[in-house]
Amino acid sequence: MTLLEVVDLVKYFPIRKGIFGRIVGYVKAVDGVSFKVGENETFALVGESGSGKTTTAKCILGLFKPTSGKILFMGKNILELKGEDVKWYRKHVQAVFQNPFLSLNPRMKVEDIVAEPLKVHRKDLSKEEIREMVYEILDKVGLTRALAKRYPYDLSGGQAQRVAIARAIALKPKLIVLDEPTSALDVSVQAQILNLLIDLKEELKLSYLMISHDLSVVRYISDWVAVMYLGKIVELARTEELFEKPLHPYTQALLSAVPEPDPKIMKSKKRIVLPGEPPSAINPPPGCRLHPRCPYVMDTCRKKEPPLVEYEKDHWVACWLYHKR
Amino acid sequence: MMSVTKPLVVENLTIHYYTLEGIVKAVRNVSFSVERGESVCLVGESGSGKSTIGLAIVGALPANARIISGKILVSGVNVLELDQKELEKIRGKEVSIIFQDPAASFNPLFTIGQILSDVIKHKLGIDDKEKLKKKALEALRIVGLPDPERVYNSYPHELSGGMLQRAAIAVAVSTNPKILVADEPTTMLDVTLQAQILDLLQDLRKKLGLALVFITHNLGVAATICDRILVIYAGSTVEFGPVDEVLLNPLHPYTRKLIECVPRSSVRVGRLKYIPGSLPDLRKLPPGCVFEPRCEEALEICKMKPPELVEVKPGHFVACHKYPNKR
Repeated sequence: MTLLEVVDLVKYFPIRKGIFGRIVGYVKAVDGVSFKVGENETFALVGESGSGKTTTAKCILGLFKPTSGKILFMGKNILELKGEDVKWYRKHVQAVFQNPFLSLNPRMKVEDIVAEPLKVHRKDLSKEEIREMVYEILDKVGLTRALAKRYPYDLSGGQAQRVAIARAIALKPKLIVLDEPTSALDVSVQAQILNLLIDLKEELKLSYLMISHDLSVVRYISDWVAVMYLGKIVELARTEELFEKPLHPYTQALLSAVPEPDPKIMKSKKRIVLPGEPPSAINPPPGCRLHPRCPYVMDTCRKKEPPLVEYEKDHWVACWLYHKR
Repeated sequence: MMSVTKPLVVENLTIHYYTLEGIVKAVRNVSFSVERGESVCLVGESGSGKSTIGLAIVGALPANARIISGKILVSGVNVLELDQKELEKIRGKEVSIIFQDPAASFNPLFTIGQILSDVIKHKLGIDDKEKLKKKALEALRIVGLPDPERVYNSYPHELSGGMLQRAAIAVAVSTNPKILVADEPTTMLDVTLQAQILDLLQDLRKKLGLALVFITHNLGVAATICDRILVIYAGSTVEFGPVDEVLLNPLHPYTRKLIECVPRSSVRVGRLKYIPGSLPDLRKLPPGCVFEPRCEEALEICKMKPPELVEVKPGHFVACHKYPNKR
């Protein structure tokens, strides 16, 4: 069952100049992105800085208003929700961000942070009931009651991220948007948080939309992966399929650049180095956006934008190399 | 007598930070050396003391740091005994450093060209404007910047992260140092740019014969770039040896655990292992091995006395009571 469907999402940011704020151009952060997140599935959006992955997530969370496109959650277009329906949506879609120390209010105790969503959305509960629930939730994310009275500055990075996760699951949501949830953590702590996320997903039947630049983490946690480059999805497949058989030259380059703690693999790895850096999203190259850096560039690539097509079952790619004539 | 002095020798280095909350024993008894053209990685998690060692090598420790014991020999000279004036002569010419955030290491009010010329002028004593510019452009070209003339005239904010890190490397190597300390230089970059910068550092190391001290928390990056690897935990060395040895046959329980923690992109791993507990308080260290409270293989002796670093195989050292000193 599809829980979330994003259809042709576009988000342009205007660039204003002069005293009258004349619009002189647009940053095309997200330019026609479509994907589906199934129930109890983890869907990962990966890409480098500027690929539009976080902008996509923020549109889904309602933090940005999309320029065009549709976002359907349980069949309802969230851009048209009003009143109680907005509350309903927010209750079911929660978020965990990269830096817990920025996303937790420094002046609130852990128990109050976790209780806040309950106070807003569960007016039927008494104070005591809320407190009991908070302890239960803290227990679920592996935090002791002793931590409940502490302030965020008194926590380690891993503990603080657990609090952020506790707050996110407090309302028993259906979908959690995870924006680089372990990027700020040490590896040993990262492993704990990833395991916790996997356990919670099974226990609470959650779906995750994971935003990450770390392909190793994505392979560990997700069921589906979409690779983004300059505001577009270039490849979308089941995780195993994408890692075992990457089709798009960009995906191949990205995978070949991931360092691993195994000197044998690192020596045998065939590295595909893309020259230069991603161009600006203000004036993306015409045709395929990768063509100025692509080792397999053909004439068509410079002129026409490749559509995202299903090359094999459940494996989509936007590249002229795989265009069946 | 040694015929050739090693570019860098660190001996029994111990550094404490004096804070209002007590004395933080950040680095304890760390020793290693780096040969010409060799790269040694200091690998550890946050709070392991790896960056403190890097700063000590260039003589740039914060004011509340005290060097309790040890030596840092840069081309045979102990930099810990030098005053600021003498240090100035060593910095740049003998040893340079690059940091994680290149944007923070450039003064935003000057162009890359101005900064670079300034460094070359002071360190190499070149006064002629023409020559200065030529030398600066050459440095920018060496680090693979596509349009050196444009970069020369750019302000830091006009360059992307990857280009700026290249420019920082250009500044660092423009004065022909023998040692380059790189403190997490690719942590803020995307993987494809990270790969480019690592390639560049490898290339420079070979071309210029640089001794590279590479500080990172990422074992994958370490596997890519270093010859020897020093794993550091809570301020002390747990394992030191050739990179293949340490990563493929890790001896110390901490090293083993650390490797198992890392998710892989090339294989789907089962459930990830993790290290229970957290770093010890560096103000109140346990009397025995610092890793003992988190170690699953701890013995009785581990609680009582800190292990010594012993050479288990040629060139492969480990500090763990499981590997007793055979002497």
